[in-house]
Amino acid sequence: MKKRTVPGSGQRGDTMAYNLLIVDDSQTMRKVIRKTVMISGFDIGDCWEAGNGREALEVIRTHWVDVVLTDLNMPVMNGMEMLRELKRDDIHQRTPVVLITTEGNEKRLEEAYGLGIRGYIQKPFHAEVIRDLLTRIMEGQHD
Amino acid sequence: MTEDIRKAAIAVTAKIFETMFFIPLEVEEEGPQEGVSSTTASMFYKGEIGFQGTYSGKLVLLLSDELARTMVMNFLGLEEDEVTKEQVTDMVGELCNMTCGNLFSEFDKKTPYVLTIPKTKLFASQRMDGGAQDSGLTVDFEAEGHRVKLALEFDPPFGSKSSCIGSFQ
Repeated sequence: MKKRTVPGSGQRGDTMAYNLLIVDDSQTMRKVIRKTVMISGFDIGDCWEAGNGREALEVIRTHWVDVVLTDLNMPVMNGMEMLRELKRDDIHQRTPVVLITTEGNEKRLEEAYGLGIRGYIQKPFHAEVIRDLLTRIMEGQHD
Repeated sequence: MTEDIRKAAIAVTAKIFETMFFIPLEVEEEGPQEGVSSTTASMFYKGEIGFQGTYSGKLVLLLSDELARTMVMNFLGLEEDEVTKEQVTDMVGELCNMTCGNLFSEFDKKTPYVLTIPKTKLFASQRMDGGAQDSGLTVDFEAEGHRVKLALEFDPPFGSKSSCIGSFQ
């Protein structure tokens, strides 16, 4: 797992910056998602990366994470297994999770929503789709 | 059936290239055209991913090293000399993952498909030949003067003869 702090951010001033965890076994895709979120205008604080669900749970349990963006198809622990384990975690089960995946199957998405995901973005994606979903989810957190 | 999946494969591949890599794709209906440089690429990447659902098999993507590096530059916003082999390998795997995931989400929405972790290899001095014959389908694309080959091999095959897509050794 890697921590990447976005320069010039991580401060909670006039606008709220959110700590992000990006989970994908493709390092290239993690970079693209991070960059896409940055250019979308969503205010990022600390940005963590994990290569699978197991690494992601370690980050979630040891750091303050506001929102998780995760893939499904990953080695070691896939996204669905991570969601099941997170749901059993009394402390962190309310951490907002968004799927960013190639998966578009209705049954699997229903299962993921049943495990508590807040939203879903299908790859390939546009920056504004990520921004709009993250903004909606994080605004909902403060309602 | 083969024509339906071929149309879906063309649509999702073109969408991924345009959305994520900002590269337009054109289908080579009559096979590789003269002047498309990578029919014989000096080096090319072969990405492969398995799928299991109503239909099972594997999806293979072949593209030249030069095109793959351009795609990474576009994907990550890098300069040419900043692109590493690891990034290209990773990108080709992700390209297979996106193509296969989107294809079966589009083509067979009711069935949850299980995809394997993609594998990528760099080959040198070989023709980008070979493709699915009776057991699947092959689509040739042209992207910025380079050839991209997409092949789907089904197991069990649509037809009775075996495919000629090579597996990773």
